[in-house]
Amino acid sequence: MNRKLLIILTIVVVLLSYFCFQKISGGYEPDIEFKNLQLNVKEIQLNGGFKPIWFSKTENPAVAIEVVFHNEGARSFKDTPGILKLTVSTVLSGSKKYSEKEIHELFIDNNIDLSLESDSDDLMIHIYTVSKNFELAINLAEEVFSNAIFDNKKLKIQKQKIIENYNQARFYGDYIADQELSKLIYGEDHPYYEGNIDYVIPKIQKYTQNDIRLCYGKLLVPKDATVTIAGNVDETLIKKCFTNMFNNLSRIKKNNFKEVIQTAEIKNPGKIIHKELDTSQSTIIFALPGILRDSNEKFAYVFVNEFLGGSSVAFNNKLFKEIRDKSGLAYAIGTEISNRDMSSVLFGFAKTAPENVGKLIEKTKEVIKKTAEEGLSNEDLKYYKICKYSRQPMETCKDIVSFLSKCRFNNVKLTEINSYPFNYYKLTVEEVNKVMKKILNVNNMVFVDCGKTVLEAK
Amino acid sequence: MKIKILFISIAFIFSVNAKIEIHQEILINGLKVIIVPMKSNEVVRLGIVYNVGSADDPMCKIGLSHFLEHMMFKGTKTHSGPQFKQLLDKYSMYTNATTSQDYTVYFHSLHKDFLETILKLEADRMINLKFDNKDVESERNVVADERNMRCDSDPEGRHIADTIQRAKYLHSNYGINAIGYPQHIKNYSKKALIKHYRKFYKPNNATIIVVGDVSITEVVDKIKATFNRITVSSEAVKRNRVLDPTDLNLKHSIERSSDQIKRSTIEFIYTFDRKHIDSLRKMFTLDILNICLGANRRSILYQELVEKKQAVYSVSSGLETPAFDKCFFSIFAHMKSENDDKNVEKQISDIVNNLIPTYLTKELFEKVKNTIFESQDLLLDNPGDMFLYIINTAIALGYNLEDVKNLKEIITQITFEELQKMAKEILIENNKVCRIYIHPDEEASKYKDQTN
Repeated sequence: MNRKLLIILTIVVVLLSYFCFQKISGGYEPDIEFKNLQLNVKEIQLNGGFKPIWFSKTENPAVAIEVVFHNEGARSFKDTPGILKLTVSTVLSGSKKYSEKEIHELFIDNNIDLSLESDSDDLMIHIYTVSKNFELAINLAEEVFSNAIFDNKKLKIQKQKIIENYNQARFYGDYIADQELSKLIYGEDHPYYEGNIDYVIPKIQKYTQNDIRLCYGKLLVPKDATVTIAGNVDETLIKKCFTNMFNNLSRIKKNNFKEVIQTAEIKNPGKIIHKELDTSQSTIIFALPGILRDSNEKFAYVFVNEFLGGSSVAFNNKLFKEIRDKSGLAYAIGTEISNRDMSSVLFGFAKTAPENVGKLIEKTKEVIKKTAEEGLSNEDLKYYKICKYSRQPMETCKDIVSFLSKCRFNNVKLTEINSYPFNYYKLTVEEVNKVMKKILNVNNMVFVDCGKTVLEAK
Repeated sequence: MKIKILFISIAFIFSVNAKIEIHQEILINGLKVIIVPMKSNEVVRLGIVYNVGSADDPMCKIGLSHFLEHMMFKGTKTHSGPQFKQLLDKYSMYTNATTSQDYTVYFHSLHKDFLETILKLEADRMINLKFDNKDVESERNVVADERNMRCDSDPEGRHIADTIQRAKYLHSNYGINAIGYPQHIKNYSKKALIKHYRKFYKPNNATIIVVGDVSITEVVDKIKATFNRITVSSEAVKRNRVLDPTDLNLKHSIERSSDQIKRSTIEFIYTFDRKHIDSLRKMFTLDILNICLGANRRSILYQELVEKKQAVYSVSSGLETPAFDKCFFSIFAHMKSENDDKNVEKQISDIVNNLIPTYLTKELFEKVKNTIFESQDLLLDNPGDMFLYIINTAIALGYNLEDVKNLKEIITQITFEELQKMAKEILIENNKVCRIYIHPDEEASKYKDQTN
């Protein structure tokens, strides 16, 4: 009886264990070999002395285009803050041939997604459409951008809207912290610092239709523009359309914006600034001096960023592991290298409850110091290489254009594109750790926290 | 976002130039599988959807499903938390998860060579998740921080999303945002988490979706090899939802003003019965109505209020169609500061009340349908959109995938009269249940809220 009971009990325990803990055969971790990219990219020379177009032909019946007009970003309008924003937001309000309504109907009816954007450094046209509408899209872009009329009534409305947005931004931690950090690390006279909201708003209020037209006359100068295209389009058509568009723009557009000198340094190292803001969540951003983009240490620099707080290893970078996973101090935390022309500073960001700001700042410093001391092991490096560089996500035409655009920004030659990731892949642990020790120095960090806490500025 | 996905995905489904397959089957343990092969440079979108969302959470613990989503990254009995995350980062180019009120999705973008590895990780955490006390406590703080970031720290929308949601759904769990309230977050316990996990995380309550550069047979074999070994010891979960009463006819007016708000916005929400979306044909008729009314710069509201009258800076419309319970159609406008809210309301009402025959013309209807047809090729470039479309239709709303394959005929057959009928039935004053007006008030330090 006892024996039978024992057998029954054993069977029950085994069955229970099976149902409670079904093991999926783990350990299936295939090796990941490094592979060069397989992008088919060629240059298309344009008539007229313009930079060649980079073109990657794909099979999908869509096309993505990016045109970057260098040096035409906000930094070239330091004395007239906000004018570029106002100009860009009004440019599609009508042209000589089409009213605003007609422009947008043409875009919608033909599935053309066209936008004009600006950042600190550049002005960009993005176009995404079906392949068969490529020529129509470029012709439309040429018409609206060459012949924009800047309706005065619409300008006034946009001005009002932008001013309201600036006034609202006073209460957003992200905006305040970003402005304060720019002032701190670059200085008030630097082109990357737009100015206090109370300085910018009166300026915007005074801009006239003539000011906007003068500003616009300096934009979209094709001389140094770079064009990157991916999609299923004929090369001859690309050449024809862009030669036409650029020659027309060249006749009416001029500027003397200059290339700028890059810096990796920051002013005021070691400073911590607090900006009081009545909000339930504090925004913290920090910066460290970085490595110049044309340095031969730049590849190692990128790795340091990924290891510390980069997005390629979103769950396994140091800051995520220590500050979010283990300490629960922040939901949002990470780092990135500035992609601005004049800066290659390393930035970090976090959001946390006001009562945790002091703890978070101290913990961040602790993690950075320890990371610099311990460095990367060979295992770590191998892992990060695999995560970041064994394969690139290029699902859509837009992904391809984005990647090629970054290559151009980093002065990668056409012949080096497919093997470009190998520059990271061949790094040694010594090279990476050398750069890590150089950059990750907590004495050089600056912090800005925007929220309800009070922190003594140092 | 949802309407945009449906809009562009209609075109995708009936592409003329490329043949699109949608394969579906159900495994022996009840796991549903949907596979859509398409060209995508060797990239695959993989997702596993569990039929559980915040509307299934126990009372006083709303947001538990979302919290559980966070815990799903903390490790299993076979892989510790750091190991699990390392494998995700190693084999997946991009990975994340999201919880709505009706479902929880774990999704990845990965190279097709690593599909099997990620499938195994998903299978592992489906049944072997571990719940460490320390992880539960630290993740509680993270979720509280996330709630703060998404809901409580925005100077314009602070807490108001909670009020609006409760105004729309008086009794049901849809009335609370998927992330829960701060006091609910404090209330989650390890015991409640484990109970919730065991109830909802099983193969007969899940769907795997694979979109991209794959062959159907290969993928099916891999999924079967990984998931068929998971047996199920109980029946599929029956979702027990308390529906809101439909006969209350309550109207809500929510007004928020503050010296921290510098922009004026106004929103109107119409409710409508689920019978208006009980078939794909009706759902897409509703989509077309939404596009005609407020989805882009060619829409009726934009042309009338922004272009012609210059009464507002911008205006748009949108849909909310949960898996159960009533649905909502909303109109949102960013007002000019000098405009009176009642004046803007009257202008919007005048347009909506006179849609037929003045504004909603056959010409516009045909243009919108034509745009949908013309956009089909764009979708062949984007497996991500297809992935979302499957979730929003077949999973969230339970439409039959066989109907999806016949979409071309369905769209072609939608008549102008059907569109008009839908507009007449949904966009009526009696269905307008909520008015939300947010505006500056220099006299109001902090916030002044009025709810009627």
